[in-house]
Amino acid sequence: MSIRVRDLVHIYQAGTPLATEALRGVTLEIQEGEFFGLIGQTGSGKSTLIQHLNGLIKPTQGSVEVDGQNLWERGTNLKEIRQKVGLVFQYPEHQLFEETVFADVAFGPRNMGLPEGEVKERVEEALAMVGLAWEIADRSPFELSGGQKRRVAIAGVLAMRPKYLILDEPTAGLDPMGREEILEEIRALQRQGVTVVLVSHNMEEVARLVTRLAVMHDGRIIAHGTPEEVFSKGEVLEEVGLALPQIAQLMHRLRERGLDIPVNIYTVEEAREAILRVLGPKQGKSARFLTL
Amino acid sequence: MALLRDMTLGQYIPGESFVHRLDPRTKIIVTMLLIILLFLVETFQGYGLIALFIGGLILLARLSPRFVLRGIRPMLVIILFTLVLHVFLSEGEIIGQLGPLKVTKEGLFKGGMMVTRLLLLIIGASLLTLTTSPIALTDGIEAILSPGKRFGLPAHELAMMMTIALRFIPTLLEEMDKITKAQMARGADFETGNIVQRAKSLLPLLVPLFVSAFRRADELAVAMEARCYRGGEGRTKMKQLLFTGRDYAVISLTLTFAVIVGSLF
Repeated sequence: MSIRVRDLVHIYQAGTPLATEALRGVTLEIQEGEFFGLIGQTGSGKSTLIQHLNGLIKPTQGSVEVDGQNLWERGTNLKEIRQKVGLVFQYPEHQLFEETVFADVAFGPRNMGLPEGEVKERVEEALAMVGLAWEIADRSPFELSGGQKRRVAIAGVLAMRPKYLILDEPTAGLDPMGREEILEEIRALQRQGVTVVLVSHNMEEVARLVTRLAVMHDGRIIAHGTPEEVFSKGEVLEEVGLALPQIAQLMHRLRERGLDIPVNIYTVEEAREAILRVLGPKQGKSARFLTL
Repeated sequence: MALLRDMTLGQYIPGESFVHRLDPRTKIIVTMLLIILLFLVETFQGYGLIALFIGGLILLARLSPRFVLRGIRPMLVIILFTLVLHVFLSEGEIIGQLGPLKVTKEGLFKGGMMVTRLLLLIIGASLLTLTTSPIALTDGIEAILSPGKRFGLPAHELAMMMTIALRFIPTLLEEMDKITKAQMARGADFETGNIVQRAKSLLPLLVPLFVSAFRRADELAVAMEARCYRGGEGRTKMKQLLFTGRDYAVISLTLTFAVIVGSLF
């Protein structure tokens, strides 16, 4: 079971002088259960690609399959696909519209035609998943803080219990704490078995979380694999204006200077451990003093 | 929504053609002349000549005729409606009957006339916007209206309002597209159901759209005030409009054409 994209081409305003090619042949497979990262600069085609994954836009060429079902074949129920592949847009709080948080989160489940009892159950569950208190359900979404609004909007997608969850820059515009909290909640979802696709241009964020990632540039995938595999091609990334995570850069430099050190390290704590290990017990001790 | 995206009316296609490089005032004047002419002329021969003139302009502007004609599509309903009204509701010599509806010769003639007039109007007007950037267009309008300032006409403010409105059309369309998709991702359905259901289904689009329009308006106002905007008084322009020989030639040619065609047909 997976989302499979084959030779996907998308041209906006095809056949007019304003035609622009947003995707130039993308092939990709997202496995069930994994934490997949999609990185690339603004305009690289990330957003166009993810809108294909739940059938919001139709490919100009190529195909998209969700769990073996071609989205643009006759008889495919796109509504079902969109329930299965939940998509959280960038700044999702801009789509809130209901009078109460409850009604807004319930929009998706109600569109699915669920009985009111189950709708309530799902809203409760979704709000809990994003760390919001049940008391908030009766308030207007417009009087909440920015971070709370974002959570309500994400809960609106979670309430449909998607099997695949795609998030487009879910931390954009949040302060560092809000960012960490949202990412932590996403990680928890993935541990519970939801397949997560995280779209971002933030290398540090992606490197720490994902099990596999793809790098997009100019409508193509220019690198994909595990973070180690992708970050080993530092030059390719730099060429398209994406820098390695800073800690990984440090590790690469230390290795260049002749230190026998692993390079697949993306957090400060891991880096500290690795450096101490390499420096050995004696030197390590003085280094420990230094850092403390 | 597809309708809005296919709309060539009001869209600008950047280019370097003779028509593109004309002063916006020239293009506005030529368009006005053509519109007046279209309402004066009442024979098909006259329309034929105007069509040729407009066709010549399209060639000069190096636009694809097919693309220009696509601009008619959103207006087709109105055009058909006009035709039907004229054909069935005019008094005169009856040449056919469909139940209680009488088709008259005069009706056919008038209907054909109105349709041709509308088609040429749309194509002529879209030619202006296709070859003139919105900024140039409002600059031109401001320049043309500015003599009216003496009589209290707020020419600059009107032009500024137009600029802002034009500037935000694509932004709002994009926003609309995004919100539509986001609600569709939550299972919203905008295409089925009766009129009441469909009107109701627009609520999840309109509320966020208005919220964001007001937010943008607010931000824009603050940004303008932060840069000490205080209207047109004493304001200078980086790009001065300049009439050249080309412009005088085009205007006098159009004027001559309009006078001849207007008086003959």
